Amino acid sequence: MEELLRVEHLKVQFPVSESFSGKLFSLRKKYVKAVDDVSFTIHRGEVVALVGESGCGKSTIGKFLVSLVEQTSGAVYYRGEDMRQKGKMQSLRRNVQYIFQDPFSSLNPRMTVHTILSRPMQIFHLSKTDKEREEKIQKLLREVGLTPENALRFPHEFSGGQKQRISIARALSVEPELIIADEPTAALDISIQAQILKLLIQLKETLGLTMLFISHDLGVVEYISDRILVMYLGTIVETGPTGEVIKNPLHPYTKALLSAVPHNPLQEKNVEFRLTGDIPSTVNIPGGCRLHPRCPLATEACKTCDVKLEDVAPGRQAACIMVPKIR
Amino acid sequence: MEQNICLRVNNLQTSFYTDRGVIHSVRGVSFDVRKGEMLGIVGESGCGKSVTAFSILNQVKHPGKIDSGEVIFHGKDLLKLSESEMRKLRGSSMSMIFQEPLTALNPSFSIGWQIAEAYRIQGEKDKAVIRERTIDILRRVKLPEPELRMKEYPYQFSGGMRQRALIALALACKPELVFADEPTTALDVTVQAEILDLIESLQAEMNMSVVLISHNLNLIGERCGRVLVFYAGKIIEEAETAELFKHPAHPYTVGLFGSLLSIHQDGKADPKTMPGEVPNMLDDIRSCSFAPRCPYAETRCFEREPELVPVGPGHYYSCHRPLKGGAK
Repeated sequence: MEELLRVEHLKVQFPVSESFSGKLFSLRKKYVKAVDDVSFTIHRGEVVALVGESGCGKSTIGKFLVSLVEQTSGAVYYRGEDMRQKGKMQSLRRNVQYIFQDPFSSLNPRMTVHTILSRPMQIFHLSKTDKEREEKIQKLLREVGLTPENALRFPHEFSGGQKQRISIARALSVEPELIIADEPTAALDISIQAQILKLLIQLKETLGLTMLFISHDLGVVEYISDRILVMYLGTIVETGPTGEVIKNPLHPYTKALLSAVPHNPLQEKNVEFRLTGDIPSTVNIPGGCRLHPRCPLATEACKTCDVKLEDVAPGRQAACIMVPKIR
Repeated sequence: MEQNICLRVNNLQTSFYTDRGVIHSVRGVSFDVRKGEMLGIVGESGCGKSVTAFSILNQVKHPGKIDSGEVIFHGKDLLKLSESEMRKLRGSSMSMIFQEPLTALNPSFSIGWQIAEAYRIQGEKDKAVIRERTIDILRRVKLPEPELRMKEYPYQFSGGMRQRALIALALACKPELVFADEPTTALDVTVQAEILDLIESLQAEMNMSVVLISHNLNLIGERCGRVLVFYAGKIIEEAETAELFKHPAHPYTVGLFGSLLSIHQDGKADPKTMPGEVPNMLDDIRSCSFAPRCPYAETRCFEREPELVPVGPGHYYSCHRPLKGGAK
């Protein structure tokens, strides 16, 4: 498979606003390490899921890819080209589009659907004539399951599910290659959620899109994705094909995540695997393995060891010293 | 039978009188809560599940109004009680665990102060006793180092700890009945499981009745003995959990199961989508509220609203054309 996007050793840190005493005694500046040394690749035509709990850095990675946040260090290669070079970012912006979680706040309430969809096309000079643009807008609306008459209405006239359809149409308006969907169904009701997921899969197939799907809902992730990246406190702890990771999780954090998801009581239940305590703050990340204060399997070695993502099975990687490696 | 009932709700109707029209949030709901049970209420946003809980506690604020109905608790109709009588009941006999702990806790008082307030209102004067009871309840909700943490403020707590503090507040006076309105929606999954385990163990320990309100069918199925399914302000199906999961009868319940994405579905799951959207509650609904989205709808479904009728022991539904045996 052709490689579309590669991220290498990405670090994103946000400075914590200093207190008065901090300034006075010039204490060391504190940082929120939202993303801490993350590397991954996305191949053309693939749906990669980025899974983790709130604050693990999954949305920061997504936002970084559309340059809504800047990296502290690290590199991105898009089709093999280094995006740090001058002028390269413009092409990335057109080819990578973002679908936001909350359709209620990501659509401008003062713009009609027509304006929302035509503005991106104008910016990238994608339609030569007005007629061509009108035709494109009608086609987009039909593709996402709305009618062309909807173009003259404002966002508040639509329901949550329909608003999310408009967001999808906006993302598609510049004919992108990679779509970053940041929890696109989290704000929707269950009966509407399935409609939107089906639409995304159908569009992915007809338009040949590649997708980075950010979610905390493992049921949704199992349904939509081919490969999964599990994140905890700014690092990737496990990767692998979705089916295998869900059937046989290797990292203790993935095990806990799967065990915590409510199950259909008629189905077989997972082995109970609970973490204790809350997620630590990303300002004071625990030393050694980041999971050790919460992990029931933690040993003395976990408190000091340096964990890295290592190959543990064909196509699968995990960052845990307790998981046997393959050589 | 009668002594098993903790709370009985008869034909409760609550509406909101807004500038845009009357929103009929709860349109005639009747159910019982048994002693010591965990009852689940499941439904999508806007189906009236939270408004039902607020109505039972007589906490509906303007422009909302309880139009009619009865809420029988210890032989008294709560809706006829005065505000001061109701205040005595809230907290001591009935309480509520809210969804969003950060907005439910007061940011300007310490956690310990807020919990101690519950005991002060109950008339406890001895400061040492209040302190002891506060520490005891915080220990029960497994808050680490309660003697120190009770002096801290909500902003110093993490989400999971705030929810624990809120549970402590709700359970401070050992109520008989607790409404837990989406108690874990604001929390992460790994923390969510821990909090639900806690509510479950405290329920058994204190022998309370708990009404767990959620939009997550699997979560309700895992924790509750009995389930009420809400749709557009009405109960459309009521059953024991195992029965509901095995033989859902109402097309909406079947649709809800169909669109649910659980993990471990061998091979690729295929969610069935329900067409359309939840009805606009501003309209006066006279036909079956689900008929416009129902794949089995007939003429009579659009003509008159079905009643809640029994299918089997403890299993009720309101549908003209039920799916017997659960065509899942």
